[in-house]
Amino acid sequence: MAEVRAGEVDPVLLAEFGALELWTATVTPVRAAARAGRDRLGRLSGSFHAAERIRERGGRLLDVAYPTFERQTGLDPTVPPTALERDAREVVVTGALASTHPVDDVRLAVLAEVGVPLTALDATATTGPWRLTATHGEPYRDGTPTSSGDLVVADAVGPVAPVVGDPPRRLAAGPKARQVVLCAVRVPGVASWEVSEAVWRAANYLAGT
Amino acid sequence: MTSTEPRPDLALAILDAPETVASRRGLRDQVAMLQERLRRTLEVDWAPEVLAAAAVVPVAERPRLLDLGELERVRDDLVASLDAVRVAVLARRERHLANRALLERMFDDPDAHRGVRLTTDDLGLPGCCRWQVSPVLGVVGRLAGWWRVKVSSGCP
Repeated sequence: MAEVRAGEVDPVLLAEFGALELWTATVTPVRAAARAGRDRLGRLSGSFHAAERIRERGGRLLDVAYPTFERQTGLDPTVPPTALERDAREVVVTGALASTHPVDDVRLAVLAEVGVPLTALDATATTGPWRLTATHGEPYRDGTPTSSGDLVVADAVGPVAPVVGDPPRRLAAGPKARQVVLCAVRVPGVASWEVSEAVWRAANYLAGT
Repeated sequence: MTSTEPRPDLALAILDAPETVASRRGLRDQVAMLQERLRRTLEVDWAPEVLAAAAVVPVAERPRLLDLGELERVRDDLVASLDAVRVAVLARRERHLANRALLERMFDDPDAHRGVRLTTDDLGLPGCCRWQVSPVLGVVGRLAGWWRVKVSSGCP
């Protein structure tokens, strides 16, 4: 069973935002996760009232605290920051949560079930421990530039993912990733256990436990 | 080191002054409150044009620590966005009322509303029903001036 770990949070961010937390788990997806992911999304499509959820949450699938955090960090929450959530809004029209690959299927299932956005990184591109911090302008591990003050998840070498949004493609866990690092950020307004449970749930889905 | 000197370990020098930390937290609280109001407004009337009215030009391309001025801009944009959404919701309600009155007139006098079509969306109702003024018996009704309101069976 995958172990969910709390990451370190820069004291500056705690002073600015209050209750910020980072939860991570490293997991090896099993072969059966692909089919289980498709089946799970199929079951969810039949029971999940996406249109109602999206209306209640101001056009988003995730917990209402996340759009507030996006607003506080300079983004426009009317546009979902991840491709996964943008595509998932099609569920209002099609009535189905579309399956793509095991890792994104699990991210989508957890988003629909719990409302917590997960980032999935390729474990070959990053090694823990991970922490939440603001950059001084240093680039991501793949060379993608950042600006001073960008909020990121970083490992010992440098930034690996923005705190909200998709990580650079070369760092993200794709369909062929053998080991995946799952990260979720707790923002003010969301209970800590909900976020750690979301990571635990996703890790178990991928590990087939 | 005094409290007003910039600390080299901070991402932004402006974040160092203790009084602005409190100001920024105050602004973030205001932003959270306005965002909740916006969400509640969108919850009542969630339509593409209302959502479009809620959109703003983001202050940043990526999530970042905002300084005091940027947070003030976020708050002001959110106030403007809330106003725009309320205007869009009112305009949509007025359009629904006007369309409901039109539907009544279509039933009262179909001949005066030939070919007019309304949908549940035009009336602010759920589902996908359609009302259309069409001739009875096709060409015969068209030539004879026999018109009626035909109600569709709803979603396919």
